[in-house]
Amino acid sequence: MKNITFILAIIFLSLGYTVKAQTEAQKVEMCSKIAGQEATYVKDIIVDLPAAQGNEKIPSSKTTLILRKDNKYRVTICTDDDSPGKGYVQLFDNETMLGSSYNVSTGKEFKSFDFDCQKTGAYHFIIQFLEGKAGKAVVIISFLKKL
Amino acid sequence: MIKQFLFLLIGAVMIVSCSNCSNNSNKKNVFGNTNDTVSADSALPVAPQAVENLVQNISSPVEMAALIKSLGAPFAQKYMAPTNTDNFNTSFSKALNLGIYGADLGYLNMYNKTSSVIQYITAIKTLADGISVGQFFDFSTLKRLATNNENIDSLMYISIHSFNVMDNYLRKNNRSNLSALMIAGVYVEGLYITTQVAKERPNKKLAENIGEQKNIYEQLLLILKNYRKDPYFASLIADLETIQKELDPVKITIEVGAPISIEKDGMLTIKQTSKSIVNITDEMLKRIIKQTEIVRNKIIK
Repeated sequence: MKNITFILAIIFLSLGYTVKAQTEAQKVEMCSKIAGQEATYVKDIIVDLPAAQGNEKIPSSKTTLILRKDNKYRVTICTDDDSPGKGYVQLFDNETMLGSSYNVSTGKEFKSFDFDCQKTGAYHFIIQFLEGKAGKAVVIISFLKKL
Repeated sequence: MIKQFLFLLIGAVMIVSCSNCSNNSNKKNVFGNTNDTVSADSALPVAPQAVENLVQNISSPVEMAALIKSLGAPFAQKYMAPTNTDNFNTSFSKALNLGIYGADLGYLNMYNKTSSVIQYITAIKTLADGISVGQFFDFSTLKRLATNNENIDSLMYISIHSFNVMDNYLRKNNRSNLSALMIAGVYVEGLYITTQVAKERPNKKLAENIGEQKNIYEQLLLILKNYRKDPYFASLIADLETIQKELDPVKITIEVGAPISIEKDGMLTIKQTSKSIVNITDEMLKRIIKQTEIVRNKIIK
């Protein structure tokens, strides 16, 4: 009986592992569809962040990508349905914030924003969750067109 | 009897589980190493913060191919690397040329040349298997899409996504050295195709784009230099530095401006007003083209 329980546990663990893996790829595919038909997928960023503890800094994810001059890009964020926090993404050129999917002053959220790049170089994508809550999200960087 | 059945059942479940491994970038490497000439130990210790800051997307074939296409340059098979994978016997050459073919596949996809796609995805699958990441390359779906000349968008998406998954997997499994080689391969082939187009169809915009590679090149070398203790890497870095030497005289100045946000029909667009101005002479361009040819042809040999 013990053996059977052990074997069943292995089977369920294996299946669970597979389901999780499928879900991650499906999330990326779904989010790239949300980016729109005119958008060509370039890169995805998958984030899973814990909640902020006490007065500590809000957890964030930082990814650095090269973007090229004269290209129009689209940045799309899809927060998981079961995520406690709502995700938002900010785009930085060195220390300068260029844009965000969440406007702090108005509280307005955007699923996507487009970026007209005029300078080839490294850009930082910072992802956080509102109010420092824990959260899971996928960010898709897509190429739209030459400017 | 029951025991045998259960063992068979476990085996079957494990196989099913692994057939979906391609979608999981966090799993551990359960596959054996190939005849590796590149060991993960060859990496120099890098502070976690530095690793975090390393650029994750040095080059994407999408942008390179889109640039060439936007200039009206016709597709040219001669720009692409031959798909003879027999010469690539080491993990080093396999990973590097996997990147080369990745860029070629992007170029083919952008021009909808599905008839040639199969030979490139076959070569990619061979090399990917050679460094134990073939399970992440969705060969059968890509082959079906290319054979039936259907859904070009899906073909493009699956190709790029497969490369991203392979790259993520290598990074997360202490094989970042191979990831760095793939990136270098994509980058060099992208630069090669761009410079070949510039050679045959001189264009100011293209020349400026090539000149701007000076900034990206530094990032690429920064990543590769992390593995310079490995003699194969040292040799590649030395080759790539010959291109960097030709890029060095290019002058790039930045005009600084504040970004502008425009909201229209519920869509937000951010316009960058800072811009780069690239000064590259015909002579500089010629030298970059020549040196890129030499280095890239050495890699695919």
